[in-house]
Amino acid sequence: MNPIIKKATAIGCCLVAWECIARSGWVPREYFPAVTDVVLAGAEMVRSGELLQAEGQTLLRALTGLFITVLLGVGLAVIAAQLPLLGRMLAPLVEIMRSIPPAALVPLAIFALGLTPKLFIGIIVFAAFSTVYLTALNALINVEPVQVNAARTMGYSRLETLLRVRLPAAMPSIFSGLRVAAGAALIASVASEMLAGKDGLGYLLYDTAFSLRTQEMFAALFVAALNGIIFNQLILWMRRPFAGWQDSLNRLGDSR
Amino acid sequence: MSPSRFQLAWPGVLLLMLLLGAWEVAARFVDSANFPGVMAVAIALRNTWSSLWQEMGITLMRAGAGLLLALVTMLPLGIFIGRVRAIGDFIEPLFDLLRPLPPLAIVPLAMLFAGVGSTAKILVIFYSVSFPILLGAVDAVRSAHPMLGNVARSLRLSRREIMLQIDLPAALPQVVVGIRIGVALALLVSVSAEMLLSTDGIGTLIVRAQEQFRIANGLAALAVIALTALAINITYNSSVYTLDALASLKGGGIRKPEAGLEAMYQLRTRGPGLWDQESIAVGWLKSGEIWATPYFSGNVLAMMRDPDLADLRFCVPSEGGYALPMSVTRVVNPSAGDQPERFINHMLGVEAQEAWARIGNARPVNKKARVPDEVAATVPTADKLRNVDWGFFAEQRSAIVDQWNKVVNR
Repeated sequence: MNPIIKKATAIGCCLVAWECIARSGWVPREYFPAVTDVVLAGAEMVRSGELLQAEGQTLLRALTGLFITVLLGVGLAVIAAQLPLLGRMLAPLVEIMRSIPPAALVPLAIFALGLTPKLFIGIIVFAAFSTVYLTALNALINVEPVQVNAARTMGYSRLETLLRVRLPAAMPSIFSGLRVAAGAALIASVASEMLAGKDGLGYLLYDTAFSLRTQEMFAALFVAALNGIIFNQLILWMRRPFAGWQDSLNRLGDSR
Repeated sequence: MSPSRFQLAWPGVLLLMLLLGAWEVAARFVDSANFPGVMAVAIALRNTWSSLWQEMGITLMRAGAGLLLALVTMLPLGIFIGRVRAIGDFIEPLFDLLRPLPPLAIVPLAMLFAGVGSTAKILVIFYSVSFPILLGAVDAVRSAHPMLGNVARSLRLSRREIMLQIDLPAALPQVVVGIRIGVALALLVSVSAEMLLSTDGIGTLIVRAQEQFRIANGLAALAVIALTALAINITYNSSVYTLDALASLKGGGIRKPEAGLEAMYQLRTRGPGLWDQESIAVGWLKSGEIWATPYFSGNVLAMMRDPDLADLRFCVPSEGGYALPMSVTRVVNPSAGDQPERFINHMLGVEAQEAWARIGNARPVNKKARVPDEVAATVPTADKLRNVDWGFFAEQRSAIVDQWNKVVNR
């Protein structure tokens, strides 16, 4: 069977089951609305602009945060790979950063940064930085010695080795780290909007739940899940020009 | 060959020390309790050490419960899905659909079904850590060497035996990776869920510290979380009313709060321990240990009706009481038709307002409602009440918070 058809059947069955359960009256409909109710509520929210505005805010924050994280994380990793001392200096700091839940920073960051875009973006960067930095650093350090030695034999300078050998070789790992970090960024954006926001998808989720607009809440949940898919696809799409060489190598290995 | 641990760590320790030193110097330079230094955090850490770990214990219990629940359900499910292809192909798209949903996004959903207690938080943790464990198990079974399956079949093992004796041990290394991710995630989600659904735990402690402008305590709580691994409510209304009232005793107010802050500090350090535990006041009122409290609540109203208790009454001090703004509103397009409208009108009607005056010991909003004499004797009319200048507070918030921290939380 075609995998797409398979997938569609599975999801379709699940949606039908959901609709039946919601309409059967086993669970209170206010808490567990039917699929059709959710779709109608979602369409209404799209029409009124409420949903798209919140979604736009959240996407903008998450993307800006992720962009800064990549610049900062990969940039620092490149420098730390060249200067091991810097890497050793940053190591405990990154470990501590990793062990603090980003959401716990929100109340304290409000005092430092105020309820500004800086707050949300700062929390997102904090949440995603350690993953990006650590995977990039690991990948840059653990490049195959053969490749580095080959570059040296060819008379490459240090900068050329970095740009033409180390970075390209590290790209697949960097993008794997980026996928994990994108998930963390989404969690952080939703969490910080729930805790401190007056707009954005996180706030919308919280607000609709507290005012018992359950249908709208489910619609917002659906969009939150959609964001995960969008980010994943976006990173896979960006990965192709940078790390596509690995896929073709893999295919070569498989065909043998 | 490999350097010792100490050698490995010293540059990092050096940088940490430098950063901490810079922080302390910067804090002394800025000199605001909004920006406490390292020493202030260390002192707060020492002062609140036991309660911090008590709350941390609650947080860890929840994280552990969610993790355990995910482990006992998702590990077998993962092995089952990985081994029985037909079912796996059918179920997996559903996981693909759910997986991108950020764990904290389901907090509101959990709240609707399970309230704000431990159950809701454990559910959220369970949801968050399920995927790393489940997907780890599925992957491990699928990527097991095909020879294992062939050997099992030639030994004529049943499907159940294959799962228990071959797949489970083969999956364990990868499952351990899933658990390691899960532990960190469980703690993170546990703290965050406590901040969103504040009842207890270290996440709640951070939010509370924030509301009382005690940043150093918040940072101390953060330090405890780091060792183991807010909906900001800056117009913390009751604090501001009390501040205005205490300041007014010496001719001040929210615009001139110095005397009020000083009185707050005295109450905090020399008062009968009401500062942190407001509910204790109710117990002491019951046992007759205290005779007066600024506390106005349903608890006290209920106690006034309790025949077993000594005579309790509300009275307004000669300095005057405060007008507390309250509002009621209906949502757009209510599902209940005109019911909200009618409910609001009923609440504002003569009958309901008279009942509110009688039972709640309060002045009615509706002027036509009759006020019982004993209520009229103790509760002033709105024109005799004082008002906090909220506009001024909103404008001067950070300055007042700064002063509060310098004087009250010193």
